[in-house]
Amino acid sequence: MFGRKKQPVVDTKIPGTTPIAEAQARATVTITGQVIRMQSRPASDLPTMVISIKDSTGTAMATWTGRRSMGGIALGRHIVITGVATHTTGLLTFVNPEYQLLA
Amino acid sequence: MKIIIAGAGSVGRYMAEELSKLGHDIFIVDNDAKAISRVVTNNPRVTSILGDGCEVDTLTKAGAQDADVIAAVTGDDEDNLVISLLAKQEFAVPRVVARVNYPSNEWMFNDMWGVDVSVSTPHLLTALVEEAVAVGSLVKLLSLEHGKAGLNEVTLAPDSPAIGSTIANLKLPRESAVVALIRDGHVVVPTPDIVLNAGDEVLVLATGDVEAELGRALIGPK
Amino acid sequence: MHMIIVGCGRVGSSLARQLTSEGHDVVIIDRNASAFRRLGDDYTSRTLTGIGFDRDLLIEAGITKDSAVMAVTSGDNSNILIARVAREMFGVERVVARIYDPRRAAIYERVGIATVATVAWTSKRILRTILPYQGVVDWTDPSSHYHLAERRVTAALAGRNVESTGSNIVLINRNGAAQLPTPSTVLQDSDVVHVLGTTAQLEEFDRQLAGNQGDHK
Repeated sequence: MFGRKKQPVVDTKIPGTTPIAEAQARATVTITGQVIRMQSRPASDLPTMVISIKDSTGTAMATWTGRRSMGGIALGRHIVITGVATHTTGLLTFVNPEYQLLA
Repeated sequence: MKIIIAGAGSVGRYMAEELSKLGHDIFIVDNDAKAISRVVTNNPRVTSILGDGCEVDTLTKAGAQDADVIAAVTGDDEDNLVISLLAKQEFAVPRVVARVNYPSNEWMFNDMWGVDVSVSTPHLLTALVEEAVAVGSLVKLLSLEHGKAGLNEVTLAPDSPAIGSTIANLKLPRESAVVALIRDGHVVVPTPDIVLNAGDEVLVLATGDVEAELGRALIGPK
Repeated sequence: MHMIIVGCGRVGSSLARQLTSEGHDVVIIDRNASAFRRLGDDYTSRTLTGIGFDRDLLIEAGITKDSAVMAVTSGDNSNILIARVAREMFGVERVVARIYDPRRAAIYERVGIATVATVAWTSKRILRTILPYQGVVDWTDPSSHYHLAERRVTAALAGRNVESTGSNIVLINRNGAAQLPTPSTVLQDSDVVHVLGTTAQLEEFDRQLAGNQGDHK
C-alpha cells in the first residue's frame, strides 16, 4: 500500500452488494450505485441530506438527518451504502446508513 | 400488529394492557425487572425483554427488525429520542411513536430523531382546553361505556340554529339529553322551557353515533 | 477559542482547567452546581448550571458556530443529544461526544458526530478531535525521523483519494472498523486516519486538512 504500483482508479469488486431491485427492506443490505440526485435541505431547524442512488436495476434513496453537507458526496460519484432500509415510500430508503465513496 | 413498547412505567404498562387486549403482539422493554413483572403478571400474553431500549441488542431481542410500531414511552426524553433514532436507523421500523415528558424538549421530537408521532401530555391537555373554549364546535369531553356513550360540549355561536329555541324544541337525536347549560359562569338546570342564547355552553350526553345530528341541531348544517 | 464543555466530571473538569490555562475562553456546564467543586478554588472561567442540550442555556453560554463543544457527561444519551443540538441548531462544526459503549459510538458516528469511546478517552484524545491541527503525534520512531499521527478527515479532504494527498496513510478508522487503505481509497468525513511521515510531511498533511492545499492536487 506504500508501493508505487499503479492501482485501478475504481474499486470494482465490493463484496456482498445486492442489486437495488433485489434488496430486501428491514434487513442489513449493501447496495452500490451512482449518485444521481442530491438534495440538501439546510433549513435552520431540520437540516437533512438526501441522495438518490442508481444501479442497473433500480434507484434507492439515502437520508442523513442533521447534516447540511457531506464531504465528497457529489453527483456522479459512485458510492456503496450499507444499512437497513424501508420500502414505505415505494423506494428503498436508508436513514443514516454507512457509506463508502468510490473513485 | 407487532408493537414494541419501550418503558414499563405507568404509560407503557397501560399501553401494553390495552393494546394486548385488542389482539396485538406486544413486546415490552425495560431495565427494571419489577416494572416488567407488573406488566406481565396481569398480561401473560405480553412478551417482556429485560434490557436497555437504547441498546441495539435489546431492540434486536425485542424483534425490532419486524416490528410494525415502536412506542418510546419511558419517563426520560433522552432515552425516548435515542430509542426512536435507533428504531428508524438500525431497524427501519415503519412507525415510531414517542412520548415527550418535558414540553421544552418537544422541538427535538421529529424526523431528526426518527420520531413519526410524538405525544406530549401537557401539550395535549392544553390543546384540548383551547379547543374546548373554542366557540361553535362540538367537543367530546369524555367517553363513557367503552366509547358507547359520550359527553359532548358546544358553545353556541351567534349563527347557531338553536338560538332562540327552547330546549324542548331542539331537534336533538333520540338517544341524547341536554344535561346542563353553563351561562355566564352559572350552571343552569335544563328545564324544557329555557330559551337558548348565543354563548351558552351546552352539555349533551348521548349514546350511539349521533355527532352529525347533534351538530346539525346545535351548530347548523355543514 | 470559545469552548463549551458539558459535564463537570473527571474528564470535563480536567479539560476545563487545561483549556483555561491555555488561554481559551471556556464555559463549563453541569446539571449539578456541586460538580463545579472539582474545578478547584482557583478556577476562574465561567460555570453554568443546567441541561446541556437546552437551547437557551447554550445561548447563555455564548455558543456560536465557531465554538467548540465537548459533550463529556456520564450519560451517552445526553452526550449525543448535546452534540447534535450544537451541530444542527447552532451550526457548530467542532463537536465531540464521549460515548461509553464503542458499539454505540460506531452507530452515532453514522449520524456524523465525532465520538470518543471509553477505551480511548483522555483529555488529549478529546482535544485532538476538536483541535486537529495541533501537530500532535502518537509515536516517533527511534531514529526520530518518522512520526505516526492520528487525524480526523475534514471537509477539505473528504472525497479525495489517499494517493492524492501525497501522504502515507497507513490505517483508516471508519464507522468503528479499521481498514488498510489502498492509494485509490477515497477519504470521507469523519474518517480517522493514521499518517506516517516526517515532521515536514505531517505538517503538509495538516495544511491540507486545514484546506490550504500544498502542491498536491
